[in-house]
Amino acid sequence: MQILSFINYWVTITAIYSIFALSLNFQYGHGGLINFGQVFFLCFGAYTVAITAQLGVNFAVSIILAMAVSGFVGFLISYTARNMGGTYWGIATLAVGEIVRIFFLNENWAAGGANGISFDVKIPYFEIVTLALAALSFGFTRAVMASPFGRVIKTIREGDNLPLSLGKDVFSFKKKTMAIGGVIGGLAGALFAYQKQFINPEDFMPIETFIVWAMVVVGGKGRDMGTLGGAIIIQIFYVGTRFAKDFLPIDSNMLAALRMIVIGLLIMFVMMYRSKGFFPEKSRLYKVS
Amino acid sequence: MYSMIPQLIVNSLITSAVLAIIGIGLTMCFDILKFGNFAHTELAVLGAYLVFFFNVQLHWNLAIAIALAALLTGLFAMLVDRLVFIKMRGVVDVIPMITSLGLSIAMRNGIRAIWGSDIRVYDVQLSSGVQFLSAHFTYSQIWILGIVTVSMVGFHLLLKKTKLGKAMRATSDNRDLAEASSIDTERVTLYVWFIGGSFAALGGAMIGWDTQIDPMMGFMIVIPVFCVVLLGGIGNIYGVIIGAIILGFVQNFGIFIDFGKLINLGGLLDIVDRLLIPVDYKPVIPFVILVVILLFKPSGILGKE
Amino acid sequence: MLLSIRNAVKIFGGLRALDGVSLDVEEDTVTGLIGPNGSGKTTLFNIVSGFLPNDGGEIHFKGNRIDKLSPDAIARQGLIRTFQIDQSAVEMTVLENLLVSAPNQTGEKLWHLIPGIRKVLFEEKQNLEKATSILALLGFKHLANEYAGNLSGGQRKLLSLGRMLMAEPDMYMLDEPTAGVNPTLIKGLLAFLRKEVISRKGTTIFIIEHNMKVISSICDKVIVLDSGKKIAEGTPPEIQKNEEVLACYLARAKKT
Repeated sequence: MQILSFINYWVTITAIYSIFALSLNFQYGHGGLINFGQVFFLCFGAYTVAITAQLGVNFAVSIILAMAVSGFVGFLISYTARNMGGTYWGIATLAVGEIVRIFFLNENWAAGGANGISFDVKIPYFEIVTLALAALSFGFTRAVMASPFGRVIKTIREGDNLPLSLGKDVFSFKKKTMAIGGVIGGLAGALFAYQKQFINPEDFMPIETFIVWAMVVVGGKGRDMGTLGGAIIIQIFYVGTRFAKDFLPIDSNMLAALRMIVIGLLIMFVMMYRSKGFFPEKSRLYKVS
Repeated sequence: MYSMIPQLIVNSLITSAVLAIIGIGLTMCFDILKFGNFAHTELAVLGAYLVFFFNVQLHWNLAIAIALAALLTGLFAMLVDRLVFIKMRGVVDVIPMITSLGLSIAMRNGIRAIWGSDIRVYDVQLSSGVQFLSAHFTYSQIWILGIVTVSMVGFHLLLKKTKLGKAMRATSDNRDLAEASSIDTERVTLYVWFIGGSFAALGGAMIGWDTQIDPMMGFMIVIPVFCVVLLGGIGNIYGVIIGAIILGFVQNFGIFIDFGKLINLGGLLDIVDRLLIPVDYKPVIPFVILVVILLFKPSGILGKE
Repeated sequence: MLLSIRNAVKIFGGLRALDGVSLDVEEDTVTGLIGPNGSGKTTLFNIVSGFLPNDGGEIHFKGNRIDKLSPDAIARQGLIRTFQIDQSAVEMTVLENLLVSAPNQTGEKLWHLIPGIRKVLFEEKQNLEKATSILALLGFKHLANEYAGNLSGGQRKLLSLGRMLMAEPDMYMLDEPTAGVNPTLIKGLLAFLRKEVISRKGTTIFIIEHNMKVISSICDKVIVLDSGKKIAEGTPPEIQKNEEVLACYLARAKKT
């Protein structure tokens, strides 16, 4: 029975991470926009839920609010890197991610400061709901990318010149890309809050951004199926190594460090040799008469 | 409050010195290789811990420890380039950037695995130092400022007076043109990594010498260092120095500026009460400055030299 | 006058890349722009299409002033350009490259994807038909689902023309469309241009070229630039006999 409940827990966590990874894949894999502060979407989503849940708001409304708030944050962030290339997005988003975390850490009135918030609202059939939402997120990103809108996003990924010369308002598309990433990331954050029922700034350290980057990179940028694959692989790795300290002469600090070394090396390795990831992108094929 | 000014100046100078010497390597690499190396500040951490290793664990003299740490870190930086980044010449900047993210994660946690997460200090006597006006300079701080100044002057001379320096400047201005003029840009790149790495190590050592070290210190300063680089304009060494001075002083003095007074136009109006940046937010200052620069003038206050 | 440029100035550092250039491109004509390397041709294209801001002068297109507009705004007015270095989306297929070039797609507006789904699907069908016919024209039917990155240089140039056809601009601005293309393919390109583009009513072309055969083959008027200034203007035969033009090319040849 314990095994069953553990698997239950693992599947739920993986589903939440998958949603989170899909949000990054949308921004980077499809849109070519680097976000080194992805965790702030998680943060806004989770805190929105926590604050509204404390006020007794219905969970469906909370989740929608969380998604809206995060989406708006994504939209705003775009302004810091208007017409800038990759590097600037990376720096700007890293900076904003940290500002957000420090803000939530210090502002007691907003979110309990360092003590965090705990609340009592539960979602019925939580595991099933989460899986359903993960499937929905997957379907949503696939649908968007299959549309003409998604086509422009893919074009922008390779550079601004072509879409600009064809009359596409590139900055507007980038804003929308970040907003969509924010909406999906906010959903992940909301579910994360409901799963834990207690959140504090420690849950939103940069490490979360790094883990989800590993998932997207390993899975192959652009291919949402691959992103799911990456999420599962990284999660298996995490769980698999959880018990390593029972067999090796290392403490939990060492374990955490070793795991992250693997994550870091994995990101490097994939970028160096298989920058398309292990599940490379497949373009849409048309029938031509 | 005004009596604190000399001390604040001292603190600002130290902050500026550290940011400048670490920033130099970053701005050069950024300029020559066209991507922002997120692992650059981890080189500073590596240097800091190597000093710890030689000075505390092996009980060697601090000066020797620092020199060795700088040398080894410089070599390590070159190695990293040869093994990793050389495969990415001319590739779009997001690939090496993400790779550098992975590298920073690996390095940070490698150091954490070897030396643990606890704070460490060097084996230095707690010196009394000197009093100047009402500011207190410890001897180590005097040494820090001295070492940084000498390094920068030395580097300036290298740039202006040597063949290598000329080659570096040419490669930074226009890599293709430099190659066409039969400059071995790969060799220049290696030298840039070496100098950048050893300077970063010096910076890390200075932090350890002045205060303490821990595995997260690299991540803590990555934004301030990027901020300094962007302030001065990518590739602009002198810009980095000026940017470092600006950021160092703003960080230290910023929490004392009463914005309320500014808004009230110095007492002429009475719109708001005292408005200070809360001390807890001091680390946020460089982040906010960075975002502001990106919003309004990404080419830096000084632009490319 | 479809395009009217008055005293265009562009300064890079201390260099006046464009030093007061004025010219007109009339509707339904093919106008060529030639000149030695570094004379400012691509800079002029960049200024007109909005990819670089001008430092002086005015540019009017279809009667509207465009020189302070963003490149996408200018493109939406009906002025579309190609690039010297091909900008095909290499990770997208040939067909996708064409489809994305169609103007005014409702499906590109995020908020209209669901409420306007029928219109979106209808437009997609139409654009697919249009793209298919362009594929046939280009002889690319078999390459429809091939990644643009796998195409040869010459094929990519054709693809950029294909994108133009898809976009149906009021003015085509072609930046060295035959550069790096082998001579047999150039013949094909020219035939294609004459048959599919120039013969259509209301098509205006502004073209930068180094290949004089191409210029004399399709241009009604030729403008010559040297060191950022216009030094001659006329029909291809007139230009080829123009003393100043010959002198400037000769002077360049002497320098090298």
